[in-house]
Amino acid sequence: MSRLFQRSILRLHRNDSGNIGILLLLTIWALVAMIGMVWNAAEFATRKQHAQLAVDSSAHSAIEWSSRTTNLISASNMLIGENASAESILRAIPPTINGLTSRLNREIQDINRLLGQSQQTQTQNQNNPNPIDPGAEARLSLLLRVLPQLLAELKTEQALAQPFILTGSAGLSITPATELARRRGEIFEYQQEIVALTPGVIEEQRAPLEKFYKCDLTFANPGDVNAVSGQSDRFSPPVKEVNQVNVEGVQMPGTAIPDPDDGDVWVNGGTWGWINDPPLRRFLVDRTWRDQKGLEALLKPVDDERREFSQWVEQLLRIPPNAWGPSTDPTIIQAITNGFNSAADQVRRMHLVEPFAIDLWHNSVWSALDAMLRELGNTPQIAFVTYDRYPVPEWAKAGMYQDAYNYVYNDVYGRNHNRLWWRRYHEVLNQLLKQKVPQGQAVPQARAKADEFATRIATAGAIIIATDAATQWINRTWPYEMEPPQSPMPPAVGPKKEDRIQYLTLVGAAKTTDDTKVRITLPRLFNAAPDKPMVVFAQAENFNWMEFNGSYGAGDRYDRHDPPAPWRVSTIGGWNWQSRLSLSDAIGPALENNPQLRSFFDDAGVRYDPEVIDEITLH
Amino acid sequence: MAEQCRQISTTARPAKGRLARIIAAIHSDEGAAAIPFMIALPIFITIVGIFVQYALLINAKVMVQQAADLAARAAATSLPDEHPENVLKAARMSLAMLSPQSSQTNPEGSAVYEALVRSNADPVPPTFAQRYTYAMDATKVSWTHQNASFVDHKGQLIDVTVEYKFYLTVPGAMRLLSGPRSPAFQGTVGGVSGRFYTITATSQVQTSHGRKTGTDGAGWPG
Repeated sequence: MSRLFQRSILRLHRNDSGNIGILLLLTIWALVAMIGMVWNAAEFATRKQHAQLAVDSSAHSAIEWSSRTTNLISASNMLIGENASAESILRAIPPTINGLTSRLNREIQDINRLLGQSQQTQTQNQNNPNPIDPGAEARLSLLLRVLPQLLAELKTEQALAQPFILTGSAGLSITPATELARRRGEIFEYQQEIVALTPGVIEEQRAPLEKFYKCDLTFANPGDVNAVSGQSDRFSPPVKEVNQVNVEGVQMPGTAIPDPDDGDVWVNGGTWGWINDPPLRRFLVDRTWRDQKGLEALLKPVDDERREFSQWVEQLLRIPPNAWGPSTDPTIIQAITNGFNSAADQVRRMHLVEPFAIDLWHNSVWSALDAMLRELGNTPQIAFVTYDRYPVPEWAKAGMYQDAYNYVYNDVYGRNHNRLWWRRYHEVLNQLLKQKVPQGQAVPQARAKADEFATRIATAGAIIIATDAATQWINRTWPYEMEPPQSPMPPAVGPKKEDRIQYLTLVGAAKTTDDTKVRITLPRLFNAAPDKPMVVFAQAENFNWMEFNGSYGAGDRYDRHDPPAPWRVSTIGGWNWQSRLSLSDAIGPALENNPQLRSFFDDAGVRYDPEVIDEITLH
Repeated sequence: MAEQCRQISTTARPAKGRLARIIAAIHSDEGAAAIPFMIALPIFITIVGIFVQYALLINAKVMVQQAADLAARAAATSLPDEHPENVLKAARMSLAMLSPQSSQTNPEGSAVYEALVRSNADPVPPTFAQRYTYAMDATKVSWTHQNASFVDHKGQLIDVTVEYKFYLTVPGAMRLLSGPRSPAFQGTVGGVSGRFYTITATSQVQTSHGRKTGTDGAGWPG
């Protein structure tokens, strides 16, 4: 052995041929290995980037369809709202025209009758040889002087009301309300079609994207626990069809308050908490308020005329400077003064100068709107997917109770106080007058007693009713668009994480194919497994910036008597749904629920472990 | 000189025994080529070493660029969704395989290693946690608008920069990379002492829109 070794060494010494060859071989081998290493690193990076690009763009594009559908539903809901607003206004026109004409006609009739009576009395007085009561004469003279002017004024008002009557009537003849209702039905059918088509559009888009990127693609809905293996998940937009959404109010007939003089005095209650047609309410109410302003402007001249008239009618009703003539008798002066005052009061009681046209219009519009809301609430419509009835959150109960209490209290007090005041005032006044108490003393006494009585009874009744109503208010379920946050706003503003994952999120995965797989050079040297495909994933979501806008989501108050009205698919704010890539916090549920997504990971040899998934999910 | 030697060897009397063999070996020109070979070999090895070191550097550059790309992708969604730590983690995970083993093991490295093993992701060497620990110390990630809040801002174009201290492993060659203007330096990084070369890579990305972006009246980011 040692001889053989010695000979080999000696041969090396003697023979120097091939030395360079060995070095060259070593060098070439090192070169190839180095090039291979750099190639592999670049190849791996490039392929991964390509697959990531494929899944990012396809997930983004898929969720974009969902955003578009949601915006389309919101826009078409607004169209339904505009249509319903137009119908409410059309419905409000006839009662307004009737109210307007009948009131002006009635006032004209009243004045004509009074004027006729006054003229008749004047004729009788002229034929009466006996001396006439100076007070009655003063009264008559004032009426005969003022009433013709009032009559002329009312005819002016009738003329001023004509533009409203003509425009309103024209509007009614152009578009009948039934036609508007029919069109709303058509829009709803269109909405149903759009919602039904969306998952198919996303699915149809997958094939061309796969072809373009030369990667297998799948989309999964993390919230869909019924996903079917072998099919890409059908991702639906975050909307649903609802029906019969009107919420009955709390009915409080009233309460009896014991009074030492009257026994039990009844304080009227009412109904609180009616919510008609919640999904469209917010937009429809706003829209109707804006739309009615056009016709409101036509009624403004009528009210302005009456306001202006009120300035100088009081001057007409004043006692003229020469009313007493040459008389210095205080009895006569008093009689004349009483006569003038009596005539003036009679004219004032006719409320001829009180503006009423716009109020009449508003009442008609709100009444028609209320009917419209109720009608829409009984017909199917598209609402946000989470729309439902939820209990009032604990943290909001105290605030809502107080707010509801104040609201009901003020309402009950306001409506009953006036009624009770007048009732007690007349009772006391009549009683005092019967007791021959001079009117000058009786009136203040009656006023004081009426004040005390009305305040005491109305307060006691309002407290009972408000307490009862507010208690029911916080213990009932309310129609909220989202489940109310369990901690005070604003930290919990926007959909909860669970809702976001369930309804607004899509997880996509891309798997490399033979065309795009990583081609490792010297796989044995670099311990690589080139046969397995590479899988990458991305998460995308539908979101709305208005969640953090004070006029929409960020302005929602759950601790008020009027809970936040839905806006996400029925207002301008709900027309701002956007798509975005998001941090993949739903990859776990998506893998659990979707067999096809899981198969992508299985093919790549990646095992799903829920306990560690977040540790390595970095985008 | 060679001629003189040849003359001596031919004219001198042949010596006997061991001495004679030694003299004969000295006089022989067999193996003379080995001497220049021995002189050339270190130079040759140094050249190959430099070549290898440069190849490793190029590879590292590619991997740092990949780390920057991955960090940028992580930034696109993690910054607006309030997880900025993911950006750094993405770069570290990517660069762990390029890193030498640290003498210590950081718990974060152990957690990531365990997660990768349990997920059966890529072939993970048992030394991954120590390598990750080195990468934690050797990697610096920064991005433009670093102090801005992404959650309440619409998507914006940012540059994500990864700076990595690459451990130079080829003796001799690493000295040649050093110089006053070179990004190479001597020191200790992540418990590993030696020479290092700072590699920087930047990747540009458009971040996602922040969920809490404020809007104007028309619903667009204000």
